Amino acid sequence: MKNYKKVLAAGMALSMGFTMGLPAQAAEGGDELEGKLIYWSMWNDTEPQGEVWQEIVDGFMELHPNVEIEVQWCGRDNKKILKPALEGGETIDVFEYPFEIDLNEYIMDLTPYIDKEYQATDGKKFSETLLPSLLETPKTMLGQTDIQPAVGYKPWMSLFMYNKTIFEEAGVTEEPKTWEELDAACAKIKDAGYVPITFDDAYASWLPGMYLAREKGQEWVQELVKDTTGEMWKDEAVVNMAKAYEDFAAKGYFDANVNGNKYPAGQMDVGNGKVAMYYNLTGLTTEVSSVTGPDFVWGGFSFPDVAEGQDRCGKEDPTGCTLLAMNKDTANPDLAMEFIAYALSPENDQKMVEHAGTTPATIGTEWPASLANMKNVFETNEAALKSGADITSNADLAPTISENFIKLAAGQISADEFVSNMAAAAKK
Amino acid sequence: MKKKKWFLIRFLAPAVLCMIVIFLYPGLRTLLMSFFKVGFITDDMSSWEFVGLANYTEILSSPLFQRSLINFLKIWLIGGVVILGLAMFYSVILTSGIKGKNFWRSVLYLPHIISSVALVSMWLQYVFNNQYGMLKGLFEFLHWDYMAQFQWTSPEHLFLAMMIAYTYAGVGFYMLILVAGIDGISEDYYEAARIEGAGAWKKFTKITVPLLKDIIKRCIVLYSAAAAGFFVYSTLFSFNTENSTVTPMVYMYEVVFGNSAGSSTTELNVGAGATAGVIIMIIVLAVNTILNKLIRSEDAE
Amino acid sequence: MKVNYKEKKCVKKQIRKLPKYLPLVIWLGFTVAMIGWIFLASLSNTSEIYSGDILGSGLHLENYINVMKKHKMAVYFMNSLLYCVVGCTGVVLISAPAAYALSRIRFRGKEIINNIFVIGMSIPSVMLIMPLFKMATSMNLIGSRWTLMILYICVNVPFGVFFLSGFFLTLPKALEEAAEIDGCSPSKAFWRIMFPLAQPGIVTLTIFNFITIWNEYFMALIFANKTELRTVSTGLQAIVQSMKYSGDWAGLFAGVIIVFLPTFLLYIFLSNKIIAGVTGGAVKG
Repeated sequence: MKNYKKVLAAGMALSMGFTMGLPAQAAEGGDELEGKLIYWSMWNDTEPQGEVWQEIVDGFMELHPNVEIEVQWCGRDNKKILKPALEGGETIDVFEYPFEIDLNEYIMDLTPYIDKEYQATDGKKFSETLLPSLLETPKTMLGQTDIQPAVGYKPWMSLFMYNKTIFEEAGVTEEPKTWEELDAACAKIKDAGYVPITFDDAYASWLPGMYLAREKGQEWVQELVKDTTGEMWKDEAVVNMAKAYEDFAAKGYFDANVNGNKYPAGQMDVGNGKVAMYYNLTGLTTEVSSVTGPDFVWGGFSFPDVAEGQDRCGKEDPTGCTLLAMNKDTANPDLAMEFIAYALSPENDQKMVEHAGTTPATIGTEWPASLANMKNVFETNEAALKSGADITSNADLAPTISENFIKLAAGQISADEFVSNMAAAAKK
Repeated sequence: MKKKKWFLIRFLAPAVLCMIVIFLYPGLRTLLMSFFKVGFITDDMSSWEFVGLANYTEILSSPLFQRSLINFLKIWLIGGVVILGLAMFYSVILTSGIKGKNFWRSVLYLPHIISSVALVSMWLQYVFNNQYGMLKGLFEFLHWDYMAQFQWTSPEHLFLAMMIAYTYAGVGFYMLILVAGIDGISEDYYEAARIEGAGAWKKFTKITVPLLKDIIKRCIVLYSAAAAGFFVYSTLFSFNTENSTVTPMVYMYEVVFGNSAGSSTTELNVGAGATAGVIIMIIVLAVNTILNKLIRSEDAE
Repeated sequence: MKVNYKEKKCVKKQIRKLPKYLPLVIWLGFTVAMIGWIFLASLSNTSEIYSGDILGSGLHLENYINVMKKHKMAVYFMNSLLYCVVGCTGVVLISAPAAYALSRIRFRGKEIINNIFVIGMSIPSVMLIMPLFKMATSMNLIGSRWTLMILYICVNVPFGVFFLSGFFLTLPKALEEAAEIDGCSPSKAFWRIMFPLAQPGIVTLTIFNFITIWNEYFMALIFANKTELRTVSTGLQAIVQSMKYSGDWAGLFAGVIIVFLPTFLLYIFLSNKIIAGVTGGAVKG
């Protein structure tokens, strides 16, 4: 019965396609899709997201017996692998675009495709099923506003992710909105016998980046890391930031292991219930799900305001989404888009949300329990920042910022030393 | 005569061709590339833009590349002294007539045949771990609190940790070479020394080292080449590129294939990657030349 | 009485020797402790590893089953084996004739060719990788096993030539003369007589290359990034990464042990051969 409906819907879509003058290929092929697609995934097949993708791929091939989809599970090493592969002319049709690297040369403009109907969109245009932000965000993330460089799913934010149970046990009832409130919350958590904050080497520089962005905004941070005189690092904003973290370090708010944490040691500590907070993407909940178990209650709050009058907390945060892009050289763009539409159909999105606990991508899909507490932050967000307010954008300096911040948070150097170290390193 | 020529061509052509295609041509192309601004590694030579020495001044003023050179020198000099020193130490023990020489030699050499990825995982995820790690456990057991709290993987100690792991893997290889060398020294020398009443240290400095000069030089050449290509341990010890572990090879990889190539603020230029390669090669050549000079001049005496 | 004295001396001698064994025993103890713990941890689970209570809930053999099921370990091993076998054979087939010609036959231009090899060997791989990548791209070799097979052969040829030249030099000249008198053509003489005689050298070279190729990482990272092409090294790296993202430490250690074990078992049986091969390759090269 259900199948019958699907065929009918497809048939309707097809006849509509006729009248709208779709390419002849679609008409000739009937509803039987054919061909081979190669999808390079940013997930590992051991991760929940990867498991759902495997289901999606299997489901698509079952629905369309003449289609073959090959998946490469690259994991986050896709940042290392994709560029050489694409440059080498490897056949890749669909891939998750790691926004940290520049692959704009290789992507197809999806503008003509998003307003079409697909078998999986149930008679609606693809663009009508997806959350509108997931069509806009990819443009800003990749700096390609004239085209549709990719479509998004699994929208994320970076927030102070926290263990709600610890917060309640320590008597922290309100999510901190200012630095003072964060300070007070940390004090209570520490008194309750938990470690307030930890981080891993991989994300260390996000904390100073966000603090500076709260003071001066992201553009200033971008300028700061490009500064070659070293003078900008002596700015009061940097000094205040360093002093604030020095203070936190002195009060013992950072885990004793922060200076030795190699990813993912710190986030495991959060999952294990030893540490209360970890500044990271909302996807963290999935990454540590095997340790937290289902009963772990997550919360997440926007990086607090640090200076008076700025009022950026809850409005400006790093936001983005996972980007699904198509290779401009793909032999079969229609099939590829059919696959993308299927993968991001409400039905499969629901699977992703339920099984992997990710944020939903389609209109009307319920949020997972693990992230439900953070829904309002997503809604109040007005401006999307880059991760860590783009403090890592100068590849030459990024390792030095990270290193010095780790030392600062571990109490090995003072705020003044941080400032002078950075000023010296930035000066050419 | 013609026959001989034909025979020579058949015998030599594959190897010579392979040399030209895989070594000489790429080497020259990289050298050339280091003077050009090149957008993509796959760009044809016609789209290269000549920039003279700009790549050199640019990467030599890059703090990250400077760090990579410093790290390379540390790996080469300090690492070299420690690794070759330990290899020498163990090879002297092994050749001193101990029981089960072959067994011990196999034990020392074992780490070298294990895949580096497996070995680094063992060190990083177990030995150096700051929660359940072997060293932490050991020092806690000994009540040596300072060492138990020691953060092996923190930015200032990561290099040390990496080099300890690298030493563990590398000592065996050089030990094999040195043992073979010492085994080749005639027993008569030691016998004569023993009769003259020379101690172990004297025997080592007066007989073993001088007679092993060529072998030691060989070890240094091999080690220099390994240090120049130092890559695996760096990438496995660091999630992102880090100051404490970056090496010229890592830098090149980052510029050409990695994050820094596409970062929004820097312009794409894989020519800089080629420049890094050239600088490394110059250093290695210099080291080898100096070494040749030093050891040869001693021979002449 | 006499026996007693001798025994005493013996014990004394043993005690004096003890410090010699100490560094060796420390090394062995460390190795056993490290690998032993990894092995036990691979049979445990993540939270037990973190709480220091290894094997607290019994053996978890499923870690191994999961790794084998999820990851194509067999493919990785087959690939590495293929790269090694093809690489080692290719090196011998290309470098042995060249080494023979360079070491036993006088001809004009020998110096030049010799120099080409010496220069080639001194070019570090960091200089080669970018043009090689470009070449592989224009020949459409990216994403095929051929790339690594060809590269592993070619990269190791100069060393092979160098090493085998030394070996051929030691063979007596009379052999070829006898062959010539019998009416053997030079190439026949080589394959029938000289090549078999060089066997010990070839075995040494092959063992040496085998270990080099088996553990190679850099080129494999760039040229073999797809699952079907991955070597044991890059494959294990993929496993380690994926286990980190799913927080499965026991699985990570299981992957490490799966990669370690076959090499280790082979080493137990062949350690003398391997050591002889590596020593020969390293000393003479």
